[in-house]
Amino acid sequence: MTKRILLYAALAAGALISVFPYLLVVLTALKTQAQLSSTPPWLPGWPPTTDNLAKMLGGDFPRYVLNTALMTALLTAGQLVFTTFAAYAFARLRFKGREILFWLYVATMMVPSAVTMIPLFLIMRELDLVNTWYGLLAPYILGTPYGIFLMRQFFKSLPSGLEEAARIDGAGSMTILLRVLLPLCRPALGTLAIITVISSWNSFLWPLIITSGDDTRVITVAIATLKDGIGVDYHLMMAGSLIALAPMVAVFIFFQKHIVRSVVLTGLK
Amino acid sequence: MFRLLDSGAPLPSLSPRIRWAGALLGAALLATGPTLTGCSSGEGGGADKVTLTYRLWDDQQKVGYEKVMAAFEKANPGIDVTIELLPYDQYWTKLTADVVAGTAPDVFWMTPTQFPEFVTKGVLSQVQVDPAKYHQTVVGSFTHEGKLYGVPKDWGIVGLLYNKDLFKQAGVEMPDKLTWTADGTGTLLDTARKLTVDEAGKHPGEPGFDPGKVKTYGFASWNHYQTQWMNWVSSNGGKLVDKPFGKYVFNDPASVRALQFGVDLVNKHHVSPPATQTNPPTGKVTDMFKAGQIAMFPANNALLPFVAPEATFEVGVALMPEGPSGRAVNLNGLAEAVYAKSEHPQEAMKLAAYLGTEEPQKIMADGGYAFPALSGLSQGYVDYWKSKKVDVSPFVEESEGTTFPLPITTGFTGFETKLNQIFNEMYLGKLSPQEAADQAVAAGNATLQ
Amino acid sequence: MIARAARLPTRAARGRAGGKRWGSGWHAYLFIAPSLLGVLAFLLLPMVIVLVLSLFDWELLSAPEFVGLDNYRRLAADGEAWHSLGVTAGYVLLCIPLQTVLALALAMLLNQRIRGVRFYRSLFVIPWMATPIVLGLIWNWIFDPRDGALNTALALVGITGPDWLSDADWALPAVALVSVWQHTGYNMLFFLAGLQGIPKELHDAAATDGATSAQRFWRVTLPLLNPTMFFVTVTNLIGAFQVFDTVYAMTDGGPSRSTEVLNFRIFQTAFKEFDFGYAATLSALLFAVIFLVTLAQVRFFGKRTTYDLS
Repeated sequence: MTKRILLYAALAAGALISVFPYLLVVLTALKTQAQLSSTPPWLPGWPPTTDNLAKMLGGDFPRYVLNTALMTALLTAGQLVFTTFAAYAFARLRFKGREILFWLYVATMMVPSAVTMIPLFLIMRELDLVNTWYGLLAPYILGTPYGIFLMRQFFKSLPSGLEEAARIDGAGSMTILLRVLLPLCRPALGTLAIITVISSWNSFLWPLIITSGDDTRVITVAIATLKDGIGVDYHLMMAGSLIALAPMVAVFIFFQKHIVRSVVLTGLK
Repeated sequence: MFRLLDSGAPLPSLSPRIRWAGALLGAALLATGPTLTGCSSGEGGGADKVTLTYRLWDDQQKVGYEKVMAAFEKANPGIDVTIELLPYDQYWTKLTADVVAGTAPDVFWMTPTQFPEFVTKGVLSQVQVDPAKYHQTVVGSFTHEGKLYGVPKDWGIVGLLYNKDLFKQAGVEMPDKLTWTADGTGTLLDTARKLTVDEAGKHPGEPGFDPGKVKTYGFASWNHYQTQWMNWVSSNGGKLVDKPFGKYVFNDPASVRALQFGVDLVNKHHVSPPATQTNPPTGKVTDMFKAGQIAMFPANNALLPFVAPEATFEVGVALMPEGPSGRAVNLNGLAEAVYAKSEHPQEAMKLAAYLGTEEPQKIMADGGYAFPALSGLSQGYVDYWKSKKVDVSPFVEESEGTTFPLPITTGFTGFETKLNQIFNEMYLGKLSPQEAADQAVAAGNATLQ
Repeated sequence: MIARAARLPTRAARGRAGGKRWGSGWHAYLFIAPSLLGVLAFLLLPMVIVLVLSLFDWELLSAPEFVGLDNYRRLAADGEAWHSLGVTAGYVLLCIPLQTVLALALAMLLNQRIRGVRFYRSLFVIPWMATPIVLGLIWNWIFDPRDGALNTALALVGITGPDWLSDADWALPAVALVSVWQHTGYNMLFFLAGLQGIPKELHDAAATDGATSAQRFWRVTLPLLNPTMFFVTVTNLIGAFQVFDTVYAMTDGGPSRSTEVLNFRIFQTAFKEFDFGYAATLSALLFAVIFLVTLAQVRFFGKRTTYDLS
């Protein structure tokens, strides 16, 4: 029993540390500028105001939320499919150059994106994709090394003989992937979906560099414009961030249902 | 899909592999000739309709510029203008990427500190306006080898914001003229002492005063070159650079004495918050002023929109203190730069020239956004802020006296971070002003090209 | 699902696994083709260009000029760069062990039947879900030496907190702390998914054999988490070696260059000093270091035995 209490105490303390900074975001989003100056960040302003949220929602911000949602949906769809394909091949198919190619994928994560951004931007110019949706999506929609690495590891951890019977039944690789392996990968797919959605939603530097118009503006960039060279609209930035977080929490709760023990795998002896 | 060999990269007599790499690079990198696409490629409706891109970083001013551009488009039916708003922190990274790729906007905002880098690399077009009509410090900030490379847009100047409520509570009147000297005499320090109170109600210099428990500070002295030490240096007869595009010289005795004064306000006289709370990049002097913890706060007038509305106290504006060599304040101008490789150079020039005329500058002034660079329009700005119960006329008075620009040299952008780091140590009391100035000048002159 | 499981391979069929090269041939390439296109054109090519650019003097706004190994000679004598590499290594050591262990512990806690487990999981991931630029501002408030939440809380228990971001001894730990805060819950997700993949029977069997819970952790859980652990450490190290955002938002490399990590130096060199060729050289150095560290992990994890479930 005391063990149980200790467990909950540890969880509660950890949760508090986790959430506390974000609590400051929420409190600040609900303060007037005057309350911001007169109260410490960790105390609420009284009475709380929804003016900041209303101001953000009343301007162009909802449009940028839609842009971001569209970008996120497309990137997630593309990445889930192509990442899974590639990871499957790297983990469970044998072909020439497999290891070299895989580590080449991983190696592309080892050079800072701030510097590769310049050549990438020039490539996009050559492809005539600057300031277009295609340019915004192209580098990431075909799957990312990070996601492929993640899924490869999960595919590898599945028992090695799974495909065999299906092969004997004459199933092709695609059938095996869809019918045999993927049902066992729900936790991994759930995780991949979560990280893809959230990292797309929060992506900042590439959208900022490749596009500059309002038609493709995403929320992170819109929030950043509230921080001027000289002053910061804290309460508006925090309100924007609060609006941005809400759908992500919903997405997380939806997908984390899948991070549970796969029935099939447990049934396996 | 990828142009490999049409660049003519300048790489003779190298091994084939390197030449291949060079060709690849050249194709990718050299923005020679017009590019296939870009922000500025006009896709406007009519056959000869041109779309220009105008880029800025201030979301409040964007509102004003929407009006300005509407007026411009009305007067020029053949031209559409798209306004692009970018976050300030990434504005220069994006602009750099755009210049490399040849996709920079046709007209964009330029600051004095970035100007040398861009003008010496041929990124900016010379502009044809009459320099005599604009504030001369702004004109000087965008002049290279005697030619003007940007239409003067506006200026911001450092003035002394103060909290009238704190003055009333302390029973202190703002003197007609604040003065300072390096040895600590003058009305500035006197006034700041009276306004500085610790939790026990004691002032600095009184027995029992606890500098660790100060409730309100009389003054904000901190490591901020534009609104702080550069002004002390200039009003003590020191110099920042020997000439435009010259060398840094702010380690001479007069400059060092001025730096010492700024640091003393914090560490010796205790009338300013400790550097641990104010050093950049996290310094929160503005927040402390807004929270009523600081009585006098030198700030650029561009900060007013972030401070004055919804302030919990009455905001006053006073002239910056006079130093031993009189009053010299930083006046920071902005310019409308025209991209040298714009696809529509004539239209871009037309837009920039228009932005320098009375109509748009008056719109921006009357909207309270900034002091216009065009002479004679300041009243609109003053009137706007009068309606918000802030008397900003001291800013105007200062602009008519001695003003100086930020150092105009190549390499300042790279130097800035180092400079701030070195001077952070100085304000913390870990480096003496002489050591800090010597180190900073050496580091700065090493970045000159 | 269960019906499908029933059709899954028998023990006999699994016994032959790996003997035949199922799936060798062209259709494997079809599976990787889309990602290969993306990786080659948008990731590998820019990376190669950057590495090639390390042989050039290029001030970004003017034309590049080939200078051979000049940049590398300059690097050899560049004390600032090596200092930055040292700072980066310090940062990695401060945050990686801590955030990995915490994430694993958290995942084990939240892998149990606990009331409100989903609620807790969500809370722990919020630090990673929130808009990063906003969090930089928030942490600066928290670290304020006088009015900040952290030192205010420490004062309640009688501790005078340090000046955090103004103190050369504490700034790097402070930045690392933010990283741990941000990434612990995130890494927990991977461990959770990995733990879910471990058959419960293995634990039960070990328990029947009289293994203590510590033994079960070291002998069953950890070995079976090997693929996940490999992913987490490799990607976290790659990320930590390239830390930039928090430093940019919180310290600008100060005080006294105590937080000037290599990637911050690279950004400064490229975009503030307009010295892209040398920034590319520094990137090549960073690449080499990360590459070697990754290689070491491949060796380390490759040697460790994994339980083959078949």
